[in-house]
Amino acid sequence: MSSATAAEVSIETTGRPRGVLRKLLRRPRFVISATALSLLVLMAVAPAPFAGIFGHGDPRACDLARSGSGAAPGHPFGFDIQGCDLYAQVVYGARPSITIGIAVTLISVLVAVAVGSIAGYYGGVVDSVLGRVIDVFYGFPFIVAAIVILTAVGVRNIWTVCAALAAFSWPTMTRVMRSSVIVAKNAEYVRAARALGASDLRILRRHILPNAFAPVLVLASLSVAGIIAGEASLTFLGVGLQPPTISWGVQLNTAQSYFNSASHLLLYPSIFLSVTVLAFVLLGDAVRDAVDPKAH
Amino acid sequence: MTDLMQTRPDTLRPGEDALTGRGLTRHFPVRDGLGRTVGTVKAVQDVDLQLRSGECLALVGESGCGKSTLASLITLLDRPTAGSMRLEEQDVSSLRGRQLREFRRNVQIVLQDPYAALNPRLTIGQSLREPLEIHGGLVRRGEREAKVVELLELVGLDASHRHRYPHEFSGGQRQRVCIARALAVSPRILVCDEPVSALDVSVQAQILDLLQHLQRELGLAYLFISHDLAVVRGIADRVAVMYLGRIVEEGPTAEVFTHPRHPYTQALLSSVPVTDPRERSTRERIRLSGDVPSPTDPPSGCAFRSRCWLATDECATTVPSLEHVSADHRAACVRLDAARTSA
Repeated sequence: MSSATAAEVSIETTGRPRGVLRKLLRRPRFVISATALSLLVLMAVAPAPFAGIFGHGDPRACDLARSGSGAAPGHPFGFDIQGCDLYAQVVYGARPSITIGIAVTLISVLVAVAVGSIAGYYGGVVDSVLGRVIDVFYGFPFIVAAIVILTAVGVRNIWTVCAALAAFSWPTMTRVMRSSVIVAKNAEYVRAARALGASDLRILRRHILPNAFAPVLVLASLSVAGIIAGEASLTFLGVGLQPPTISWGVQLNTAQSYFNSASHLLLYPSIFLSVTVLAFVLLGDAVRDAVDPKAH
Repeated sequence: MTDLMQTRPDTLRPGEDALTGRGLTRHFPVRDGLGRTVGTVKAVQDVDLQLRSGECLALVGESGCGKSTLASLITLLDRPTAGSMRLEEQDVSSLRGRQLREFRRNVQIVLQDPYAALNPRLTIGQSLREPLEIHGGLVRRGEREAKVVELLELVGLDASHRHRYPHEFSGGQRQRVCIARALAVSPRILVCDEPVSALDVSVQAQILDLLQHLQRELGLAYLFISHDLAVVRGIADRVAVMYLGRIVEEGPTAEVFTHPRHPYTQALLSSVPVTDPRERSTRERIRLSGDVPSPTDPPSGCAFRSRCWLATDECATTVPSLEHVSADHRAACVRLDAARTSA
């Protein structure tokens, strides 16, 4: 997601990327969400230093004797059901969730921009054919379809989960992209550009895409959140990532059986999950405002 | 004028035909929900048009009469169903690619709504640089910034405005930017599609002054589309009146305004408010009854007959063609003699 927004920012403000950055930095919503996300992404890239802060950084150093027990010195979140340090487990769990969230969203945005632009700009038969394909994918209930695919494939790792989620998350964005391309295509400034002699490619790149992308950008930021939650749901339902993989979804899946006796097992992974989801939503909001020249 | 804005050496002498349309027709199919054609909107029907170099030809008519469709045809933003167009000696009806780009250098358009005609995400400077980037051979890369500043000053804006976005400007200022953008490629012909109708009355006068000033300065020919006769009277050399896709009267502005020959023109002119109370008492107001008929199903014969107080049986069967009523003044009505006395 972050790379998509960065690219967008430079399209929007050719010649004045600093203006947008300065605008963003003045917004508390951006500063807070960007800081939280940087920490979480760092945690996903290099979990070891974060996990080691309290001196017990190995998520697989477990002591069954302490299974499910609460906070103790050096173990602020307590222990999971295997007696492993829960704090280290939660830190290591960031990687699959964030990787899946970002990768699936990036794939969806790329497909949405390509397919949506072609369908919206050229219209006619192209639009009808692509529109029906989108409808078919759109018709499947997201989670049910992902369950079917993952059950059929049988292999459950980050990449198959990514593929299953991506296969059904692009249609929504593509539809939004298509309709906002149609709106932009009929704008008077596009007619003016055509009268000036601009080529199709130039009109798409300079006039239609920058004006049509904003709704997709917002949807994408919400979608990162939705996909992280979707991955957790799949894992929770037992068709996503499998133990011994460490992920927030796996932790929540395990925690459901012990909710009464050890509620901290559910509490900490869900706090991290919620903060990540919220941070992406806020970031999307802030970026949307910053790239809109009309918002002050 | 600096050398950048000079009119081109190959510009025709004033008075020669710069742009000629012959039998221009544009029909739009009307489709039902299943995509079947169930009718045809005859937006523009068999229009002949000559725009002479350096003149301002006004095209007037009610909304929905096909004025803007004709503007699209003339600027090749849309292609005619039938008919042909010539720019001087060249047939331009089917231009593509490089030649079409060359045509666009000569013929530019200023659109009606300056609030919608500028990309909200580009600064004024970026919008003005775009024509120079598209027609890369006109101004060298290093000189484009200077050209942008020059264009802004030409239309009465400040050089510093180029760093701002369209939403920071008023409608009049935006229309100035649109005019500057059209002039960036030094066209010979400027089609103005209701350029002031979206603006406040006080601003309209300023934009009209600017257009007149630019015409003198740059030797431009205007096709000036408007529904406002008061605006047309001030700026046009010739007037063409359109009704339901056809031109019904055409002639020098002064003559058409003082001696309108077509009943429709007479009705249009009688609806212009009169400021002089003495003249007001002597003038009879012609009030047309009914609405403009649907262009999907226009009346047979003369399209105006359903609202004309002079209509006879002949009007239902004959499609009137433009006849000379004086050297440069033509009208399309089978009852021209009756119309002369009724006005």
